[in-house]
Amino acid sequence: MGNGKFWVIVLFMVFCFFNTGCGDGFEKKRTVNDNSSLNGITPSQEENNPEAIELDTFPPSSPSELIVSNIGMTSATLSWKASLDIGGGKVTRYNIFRNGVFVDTTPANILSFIDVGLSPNTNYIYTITVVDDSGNESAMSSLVEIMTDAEPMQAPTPTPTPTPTPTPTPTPPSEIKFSNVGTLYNGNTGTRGSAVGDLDNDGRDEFIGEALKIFDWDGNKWNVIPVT
Amino acid sequence: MDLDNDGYLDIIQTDTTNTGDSGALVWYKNPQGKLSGNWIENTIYSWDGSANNRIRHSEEEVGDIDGDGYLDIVVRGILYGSWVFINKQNGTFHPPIFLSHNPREGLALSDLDGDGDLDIVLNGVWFETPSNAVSGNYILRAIKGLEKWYPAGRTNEELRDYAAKVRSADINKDGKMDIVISNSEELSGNSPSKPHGVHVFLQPANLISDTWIKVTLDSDNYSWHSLKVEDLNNDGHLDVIASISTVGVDNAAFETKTWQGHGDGSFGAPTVIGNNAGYQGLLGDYDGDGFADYFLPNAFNSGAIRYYRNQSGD
Repeated sequence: MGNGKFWVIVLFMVFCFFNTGCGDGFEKKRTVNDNSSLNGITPSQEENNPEAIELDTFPPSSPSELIVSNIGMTSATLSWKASLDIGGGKVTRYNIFRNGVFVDTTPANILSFIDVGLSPNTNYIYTITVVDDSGNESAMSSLVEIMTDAEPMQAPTPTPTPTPTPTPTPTPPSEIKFSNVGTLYNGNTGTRGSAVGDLDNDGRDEFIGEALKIFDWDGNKWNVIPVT
Repeated sequence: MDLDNDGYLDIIQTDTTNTGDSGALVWYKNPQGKLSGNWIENTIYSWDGSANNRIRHSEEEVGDIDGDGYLDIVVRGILYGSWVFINKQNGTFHPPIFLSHNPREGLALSDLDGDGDLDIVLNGVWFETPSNAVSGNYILRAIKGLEKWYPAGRTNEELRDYAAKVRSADINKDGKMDIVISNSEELSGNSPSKPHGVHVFLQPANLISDTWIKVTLDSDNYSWHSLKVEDLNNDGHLDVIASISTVGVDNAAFETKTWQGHGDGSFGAPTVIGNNAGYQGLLGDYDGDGFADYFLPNAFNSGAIRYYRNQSGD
């Protein structure tokens, strides 16, 4: 072979080195070599990566059975059921969102999360997503809304009380007691007692019978005074 | 009853009988506390027994009906109706206002509607006193829950079974006047359908349309012809004292009972304080110890007048 033929072969090899179209080992598949390829490498670059693997483009299913428990004034515990990657890859992490804002992530083998730093008596909405090893992120899980516990009522600051003034012990109410002392008078003299009242303003009531007689108790006996 | 506002209680007497339709209402002016002095007799009104001017077997109540500071008088006859006498503020009275209503017994004065004047409470109904007690119309009103004491369409004889003693006071301290009522006579045979016993009726929210709240003190006897409401033990709560009379066919033991009030419409179990028949008992502090004593005539126009000393303060 002459020098001209040599240079043709070299140029062909150089061309093939930089051009994947010259060999059977470079198939036209979209491949990535790691997760970072989605974030910085263009498809054309990917296609030129000789270490690329088959690309998973299917996101995992949404996390299911999200529940929130142990709701306190400032924290709550989220838990959910493990997800599967329907694209054939592996679940790598779960993303936690509070009120639509990303809060944190848990690894694939951790299916719960304690959210702290909450405010008492406040509504929060939680949702989570799952991410597979291809970087595919699922749709949002169903929403779970909670309200944190309210702060306990603060007891009012006790006001210093003045020294109580001694008061007499109240006398318990007495039973009603009567005694049949005697008879004012007998006979058909008009027994419809017409009135009782303190006629002489002495602090004692008199009895006035129908026959218009005043019966006045003087402390020892009844004095009978006809009304004239 | 200081009818002339001179500071001394006067004596009022209704001179009526159980057999005739004539009578008189008189008062005796107190000779300034001198019991043996000259009690001047003043006739307020006379009934001549004619069809439009008759009275029989009366009971009377004294109170400031029109709220002018002077005492007025209501006389209820057992058969024909009631007569209202409004004081002219000097011990003389306007011509009486006649109130027609069913016969029998039961009379009290009480500001049931809270408008400042005294209304006239009967056995199951009441008359609302008008703002002008002399010329206005007294409106007859029902007391829902007490209708049995005032049945419509009954004959006079049957109505003897619906005689009552009536008192009125604010039993449960809610600012509204309540009613205490007892069946006072029963003559034509006992029947569970007839009103009987001693009951408190607490005034409901709506005086006219609501049913009064019944509190039963006694449900067995028919002849409670003496009924008084007073704070008998000075504990600040109104109590009830009642006696069974010889009138009627009750055949119950003659006795006087007290029911100690709790101030909320409830009462304690009764206490028997005496075993004598009683008719129109009266309360008054004869010994001046601050506790109301009990004067108890045995029966209508006969028998002994006994007195019971209140020992609650001893």
